[in-house]
Amino acid sequence: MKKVRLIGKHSLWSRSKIWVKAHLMGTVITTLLFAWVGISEAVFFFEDSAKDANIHSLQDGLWWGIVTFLTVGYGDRYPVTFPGRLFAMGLMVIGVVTMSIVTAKISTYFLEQALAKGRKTVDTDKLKDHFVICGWKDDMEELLTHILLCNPDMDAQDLVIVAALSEMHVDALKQHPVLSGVQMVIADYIHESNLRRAAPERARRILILADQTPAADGKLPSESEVDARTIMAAMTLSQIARGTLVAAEIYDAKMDHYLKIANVSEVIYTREYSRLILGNATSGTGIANVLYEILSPQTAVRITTVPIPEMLIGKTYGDIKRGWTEYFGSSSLVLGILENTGNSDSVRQRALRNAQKTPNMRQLVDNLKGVKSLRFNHPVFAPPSDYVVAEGSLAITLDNQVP
Amino acid sequence: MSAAKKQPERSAAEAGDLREILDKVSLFAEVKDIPGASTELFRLMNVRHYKTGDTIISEGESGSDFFILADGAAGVYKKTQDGDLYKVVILHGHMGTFFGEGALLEADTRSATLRAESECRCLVLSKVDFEKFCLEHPDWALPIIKRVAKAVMIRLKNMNNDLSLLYKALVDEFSQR
Repeated sequence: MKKVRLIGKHSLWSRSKIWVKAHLMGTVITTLLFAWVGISEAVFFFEDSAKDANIHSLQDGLWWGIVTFLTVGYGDRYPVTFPGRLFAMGLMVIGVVTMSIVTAKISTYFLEQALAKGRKTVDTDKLKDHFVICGWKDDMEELLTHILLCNPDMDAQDLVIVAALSEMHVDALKQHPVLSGVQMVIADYIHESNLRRAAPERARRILILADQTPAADGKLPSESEVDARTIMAAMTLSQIARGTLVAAEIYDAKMDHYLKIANVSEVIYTREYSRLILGNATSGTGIANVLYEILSPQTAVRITTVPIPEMLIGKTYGDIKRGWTEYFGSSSLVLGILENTGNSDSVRQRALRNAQKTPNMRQLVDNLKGVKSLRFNHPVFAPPSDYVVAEGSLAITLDNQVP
Repeated sequence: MSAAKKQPERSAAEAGDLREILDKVSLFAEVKDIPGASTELFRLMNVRHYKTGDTIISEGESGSDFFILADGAAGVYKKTQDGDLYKVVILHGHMGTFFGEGALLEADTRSATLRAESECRCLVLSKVDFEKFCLEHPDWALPIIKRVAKAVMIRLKNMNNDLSLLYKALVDEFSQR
């Protein structure tokens, strides 16, 4: 309202300026048409009566006008009178300026097209069973290489990064020998529309990084800001990609609760881990070395979770321990059970169904309470041998992949 | 009950075998020592044979037969709200196991499915036959009806307990923020 009144008080000149701005393309074309027709007619008017003149009709005038305007200048018709030449100069200037602007526009358009093709970033419709990574890290190249190492069935093309990347980062990835195929959605993952471009509903897994990339003004976001962004992205994903497994990295372990609400099945406490390892190192237990050996893909020893053979589900942990070597050989050592694995939504559904399988109401109520306080991806190390292995569990194993 | 076969003629050995089972049924505890009573009850009962996997009764259906599992094993199954069938318990014969006693009083909506887990033999008493028995021998029928009533009462009491438990759980659920 206020703005409208403000314009109303202004002069005709500023009002027409605003109108021209709103209808720029039309105004320019109309003006140029008028300039062409008007000047051509004027030249014809002055030339027609002159001696030695060669513009004798309006058609001649228009033909001369367009040849001049487009800076072609055949010279088959030309003004000879002074006023005619004066008008001609005006049209020449307008023509040269207009033509250079148009040429520049057209070449920019094609250049942009070519550039966009060169760093073609993502093909949303073709994405399937891929791995979405939201956010960026300083050591992203190493992280991506590591992700590919940990998932041998994945190619670089299966990785989709959603982040507001700078051109430098994009170019660096494009020139990387292994990672050049990585797809990118160069936009902030906080917005749903940007996340959708990575087709999260068809993704195999999603990882949200604690992205501490500086903002446009060069300021580093605080840790709680980073966590808040992670949580917002997780909540959005829980809406638009219900069935997909989401892992999220977080600084403050207290924020964990919100990620659970957002159905995040795996939370990575980067800060906490390094603190724990540092603390442990002070006691001289050598745990840091042990952990490195276990987690590093360069070593033959690896801690993994593996699906439990169907026939062992519902059996006791003792049975599993006894039967393990038979199934997996002596180089695999079972350490415990990871309970309630998979997408938290489906885990909850499954738990709810199983909880109802009792005729005893007390048992039913207890079971349902159990569903409420379900802990997803909950590891149980070396449980007693009468521990019953439930559906949806994975075995935690230590494998020695000696060739 | 399509799988059930009526066996009008029983061999003497089989009859003796089944009579013994009748004596183990707690519903008939008071009448088992009355000479004529159990003979009369036994006369009214049919023997049905079930093959492994046959359904004896199914949950939700209405029935008016009372069953005594004479031998074999029968699994009790119930359905969850989501329609998943789960096993509650396995009943074994020879011990005077019975089910569907409510049907002796009134056509009963079965609260569970029973399926033969092995070859099964059941003694079946229909409501109509039992009512005839009651009219002819009210003094023998009274203790049996008392027993049935007691069994129904126990079930009712359990149901009440379950209800208060659910009530409490529901209130608890809403009291948490």
